[in-house]
Order: sequence, then C-alpha cells, then structure tokens
Amino acid sequence: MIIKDKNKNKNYNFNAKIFPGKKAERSYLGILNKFLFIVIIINGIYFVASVNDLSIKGFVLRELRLKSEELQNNNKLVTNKVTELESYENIQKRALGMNLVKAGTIEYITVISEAVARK
Amino acid sequence: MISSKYNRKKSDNGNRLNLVMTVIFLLAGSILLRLYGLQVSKNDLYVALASDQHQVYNKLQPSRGEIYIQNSPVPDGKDFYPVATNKDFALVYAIPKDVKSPAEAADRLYEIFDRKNVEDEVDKMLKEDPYFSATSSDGLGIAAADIKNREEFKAIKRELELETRKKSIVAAYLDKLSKENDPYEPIRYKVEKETLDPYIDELHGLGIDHIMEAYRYYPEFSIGSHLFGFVGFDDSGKIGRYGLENFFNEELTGAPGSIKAERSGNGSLIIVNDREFNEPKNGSDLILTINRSIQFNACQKLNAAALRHGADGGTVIVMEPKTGAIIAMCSWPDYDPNNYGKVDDISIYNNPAVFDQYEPGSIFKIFTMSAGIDQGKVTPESTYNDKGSIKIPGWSKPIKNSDFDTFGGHGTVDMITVLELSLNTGSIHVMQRTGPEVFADYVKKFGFGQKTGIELPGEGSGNIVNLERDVIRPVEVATATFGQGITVTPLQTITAYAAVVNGGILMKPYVVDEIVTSEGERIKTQPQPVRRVISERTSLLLSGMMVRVVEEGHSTRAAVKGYYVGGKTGTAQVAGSGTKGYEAGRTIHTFIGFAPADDPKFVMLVKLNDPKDVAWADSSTAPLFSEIAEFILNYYQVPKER
Repeated sequence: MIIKDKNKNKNYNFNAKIFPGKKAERSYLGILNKFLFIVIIINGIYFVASVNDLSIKGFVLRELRLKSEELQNNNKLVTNKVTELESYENIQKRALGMNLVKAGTIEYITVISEAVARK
Repeated sequence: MISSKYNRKKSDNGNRLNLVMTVIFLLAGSILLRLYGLQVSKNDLYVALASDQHQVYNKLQPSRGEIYIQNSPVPDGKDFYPVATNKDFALVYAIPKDVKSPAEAADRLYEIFDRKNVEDEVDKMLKEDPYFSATSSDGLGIAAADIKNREEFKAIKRELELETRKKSIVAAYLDKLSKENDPYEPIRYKVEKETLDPYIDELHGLGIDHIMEAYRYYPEFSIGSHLFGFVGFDDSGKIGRYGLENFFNEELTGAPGSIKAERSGNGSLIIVNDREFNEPKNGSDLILTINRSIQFNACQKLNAAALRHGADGGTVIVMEPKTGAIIAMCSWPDYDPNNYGKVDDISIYNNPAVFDQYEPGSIFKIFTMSAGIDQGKVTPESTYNDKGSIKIPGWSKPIKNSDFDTFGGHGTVDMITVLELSLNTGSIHVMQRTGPEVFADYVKKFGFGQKTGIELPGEGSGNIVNLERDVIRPVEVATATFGQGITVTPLQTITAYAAVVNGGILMKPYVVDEIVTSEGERIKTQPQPVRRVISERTSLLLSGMMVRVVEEGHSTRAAVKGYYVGGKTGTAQVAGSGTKGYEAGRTIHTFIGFAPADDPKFVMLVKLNDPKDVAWADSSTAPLFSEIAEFILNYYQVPKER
C-alpha cells in the first residue's frame, strides 16, 4: 500500500516530471470549450436576429410593393380619364351644348415690304 | 451461498435489463422503419401532397402594348395620343346563396344599370314613330280630335313600354339570383368604375360583388376602327382580330411570366423562403404615322358625305407622297371596336382600303399617260383626232367616250384635253403609241397586280391578269387604259399615284412609324423606295397636267381656294356579281389628287361606292376631296400660292 501510495505519489510526481503540460492542456481545453460555447450562443442570437430582420423587411417590401401597385393603378386611372376627356368624340359632344361658333374660312394676310411705318 | 444468491440476483437483473433493452430496441427499430417508409419510399407522394397545400404557382399576364397616333402637325417624337389602351372595368357578379332578397336585389340592379338606357331607348323609339312625330292629321288620316289626345296617349304608351321592358329585365335578374346553393352568377360585364363606385356598399349588402378586369379600350370609338381592329377572345385567351391588333398581335401581347412560392398557414406568401419569379414581358407599343386631327376630320367628312349621297360605302386614304407614310385611313360604314359584337354583318370588320378590289375607271388614265410620256411617245402637246369612239380589232362594238352621246367627237385634241375631258379614245391612242406590252409593263411597275406589303392583314393584290397574258388581247388592253377590266385596291392606287407626283419613285406604304419595346428599345421604320417608275420630268409634266384637270377639266369642284391642286376623277361601272357585263345604274366614284402642286404635302384618294343622288364623281368625291384638302392645308399651315 505504501508502495502504491508511494507509487501514487511517485506516479504523480512521475507524471509531473514526464508530462509536464497535462494540467495546462486541460485548462486550455476548458478555455476552448467555453469560447466555442460563447461563439455558438452569439451565432445563434445573430441567426435569429437576422432571420427576424429579413422577415420584417420582407413584410415592409410587400407593403411597399402593394403601395406601388396602388399608385400605378391610380396613375393608370387618371391617365385613362385624361385620354377619355381628350378624345375628339367626347370633346365634340361637349362642345355641341356650348354655343361655340365654328371657325370659318381662314384668310392669310400678306405682309408687303413697303408697308412699314416710317415716322 | 451469499455469493451465488448475489450472482443469481445479478443474473436476473441482467435478464430484465436485456428484455427492456430488447423491447426498446424493437420499438426504435419499428419507428426507424416507419420513418424510412414515409420519408424514403413514399417521399414523392408526400412532397406532392405538401406542395399542393403549400405551393403556389400562378401565370402572370403581361400588359398589352398600346397604339399611339401623332398628335401634332410636325411629328416631334413626343406628342402622341393613345387610340388603343387598356382600361379596368368591373365584372359584377352575384353570390345567389348569399342573396337574402332576390326581388329587392333585381329591382336595384335594374335601377342602377338599366333604367336610364331603357328610358333613352323608349324616348328614341317614340321620337322616330311617325304617328307621334307627325305635324298634321291629313297625311296619316287620323281624326283632328285624336291629335289633341296624342300627347296624353304618348305618355301612356311610354309608361307601358317602360313597364314591359322593366319586367322583362328584372325577371332575367331574378332568374339568376334565385338559384339556390349557387356560389357564382355573373350579372354584368364591362361596367365603368365610376358607374359602380356610389353603389358598391349597397350592392355588397344585397349579396352582389365585383372584380376588376382589364379590357382593351378605344377612346376615339369608331374613328379608324378598320385600321386598328379589336381584341377578341379565342381558346387561348385574348387575341387581336383584324387591323393592327391582329397583324402585330405577338408584339402587342408580350410574354407571360410566372411565380412559384410557398404559402403560409394564413394563406400569404412566405417571402424569405425559396421562390421562383419570372417577370412578365409587357407588350410593345406601336406609334403610327397617322395624324390624329386629319384622321378625325377625314373620317367625319367621309361619314357625312356617304350618308348625304346615299352611298353603300366609302374610303379615304391620305398619304405623304415622298415617304409613303399613311397620314389618314378611313372607311365607311364603320363600327365601334369597344362593342365589336354589335354589328349586323361581320364583313364590316374587313378594311376596304386594302381589301376591296374594284375597277378604278378613269383615274387610271393618269398611269396610261405617264407611260406614254415617259417613253417619249407622246407629249402634253401631242394631238390626235378624236371621233368620239374607236374600233378595236377583235371586238364588234366600238369603245366610246363617256360624253359621246352628248358631244360626239371632239376633233383634234391634245393630251392635256384627253385628261381634262377624260376621253377614253385618247387613253387608247396613248397606249397604241406606247405599245401594249410596254404599257402592261408600266402597269406592273406601278405596283398593280401585287400586294404593297403594308402592315395590315387581308390586303388584296388586285387582278391584272388581262395584261399578264403572253399575247395581250387588244380589247382587254384598250379597256385597261381607262381602268376597266382590271381590278385594283384603293391602297395600290394611291401608292402608284404618289409615285407620279413625287418625282417618279414608287414608295412602300407604311402605317407604323415606330415600335417601342417594354425595355425601351425603339425600332423606327425607314421609308422604303421600291423602284423608279417614271422620270422626274415625266412626274413634273403629269403634275402640271393634273392641275389643268382641276382648273379647267371635270374636277373643278376639287379646287381649294388659294392653292394649285391637281387630280383626276373616275366614275367606274360595277361588274355584275355572277353575271357577265356591268350592273346598270351602279357606279363607283373616285377622286385622286394632291396639293400643293409645286411641293405636294399629301396625296389623297376619295372613293364612294354607288352614290344614289349623283351620276359623276365630280359631284360626289371631288367636293369631298376639296373639303378635306382645305382642312389639311390649313392644319399644316401651308401658305397660299395665289
């Protein structure tokens, strides 16, 4: 037993002599594990946050698209209304009730070079 | 003993453990097997079922391209007016199983959509009724006392008519709304949004709803309907029919797109997930060479003249002679492409300007004279002895001038007089000097007997088979010199005429100035010369001769005050359908002219089919030409020449 103890001690001492870094390794591993754990947590939070942000942006995009479509539709309505109002058929119908005088024969005035006021 | 008991206990425990582990193993194994069966063996089935529930696939329809015309006298590339555009109309439908009171709903539908139209129809019917519009009792033989009660009777008749029509319409609505368990019944198509807006909530309460659908819309109604065509339906969906809508259907339609995405539990699309989106390619727009003001004016004046003269039909084409660009193209009778189904005869859809083939008559003398002068066989001052008629070898009857019965022979006349008085004998004389084969060759060079290639469907090529024989018969070539025995289309005639006045070059007619794709690419049409037909000198001489025709010949009513206008009338007989010879009393009147004479801004062909009140083209088409020409010259602000 004593020998074992001795051996134990010796063993320990032996280990300490032959494998001087094992205690250090264990501490390095521990640090690495903690580091990886923290990285996983951070990545996880980042992933959730980015997916959330993407979803929100997706909804915003959808809203903007709907608004753009609505504006385009309104624009088209207004354009069509303008086209209708500018139609000669419609103008003629509206003009009938306005007592307008139809333009008659057009006479052109010829400007003669001598016809210039002198004083 | 203690150890064996211990060992036995230990062994019993081990067996129980093994049993439990076996059971667990078997359970796990069966679960794995089931998973394998679901996810591997029946993978396709479940993917398909899931996609059916969650996947969305929709075809995206492109927007149809629009058609524009020029909106200013000088095309500036900016000022256009849309003559064919897309507009949303409402499709009103009922959900009969949600309609609580069909009678009330039917009444309201009548009030909203039909009452005004019915009242207008009844008022129009009563106005056109000779009994109610008569001013004296003598013509109708009704007693004087009854006249006093006529207004009262009219009111009663009006009420009765309105009531009868209302009952019929409401009954039709009731029939649709009373169908139990029916989820959908269309009530009315193509309703203006403005008409519907004030009643949306009320109709919704009655179980009637609407959706917006895109339709083709033509804001100028029947103006230019033959040229533009319309959009109809076939098995594959919307398709352009007739006119430019048909010819450029592929360009105007574009290409459909698609969207493939996944749907969430509440039915909306999942944005962040994978999706395929192919944007639809909208149709290309067409910008035409047609001028809006000239087109409107020409069509209106043609419609009025056709009605005034009792004509069966009519055509006006205005063309820029130097380029072949079509500035206006109208035909009558026309139709409203917004309601293309409301026609009595579908033959109205054909564009007479390119489709109709007819014997042109005396306007063809221009081309006969061009051939003779160009060959140097005659000059404007060349003379011949006109006896009023001429005998043709192989034909028993002599060919006479149209005024032979009145004037007989005109004696020694020059070529200008031949055109002024439209002498058939003169045109035969020119052909005989030129030679039948050479004359026939000129007719082909002017483009007759072949299509012009304009971008419109249904174009006719005319018929000059009489002049294409190996051995041309004397009587056939003789009648061809004054436009009988051959057929041409109005478009061929004006195209050839443009060659006579523009210096001698035959130009290819075109109506589409530019095609603008949805990506913004612009494809411009360049004027295309086909060939030189006559020399510049010949063109100049013929132009001068035609001015004399308007100044002093049969076409004085085509003149426009202050301008030198050239042209020629033609009053052609109409070939009998199914019988030999010509139909008695039926004629086709044509006038073809240009202005101003020294630098023509336009050439115009005016045609009226069988006017009933006048015998000659100088009384029907020549004045119509003058009206439209005056408008065009003022519109272009062409300074007066005299």
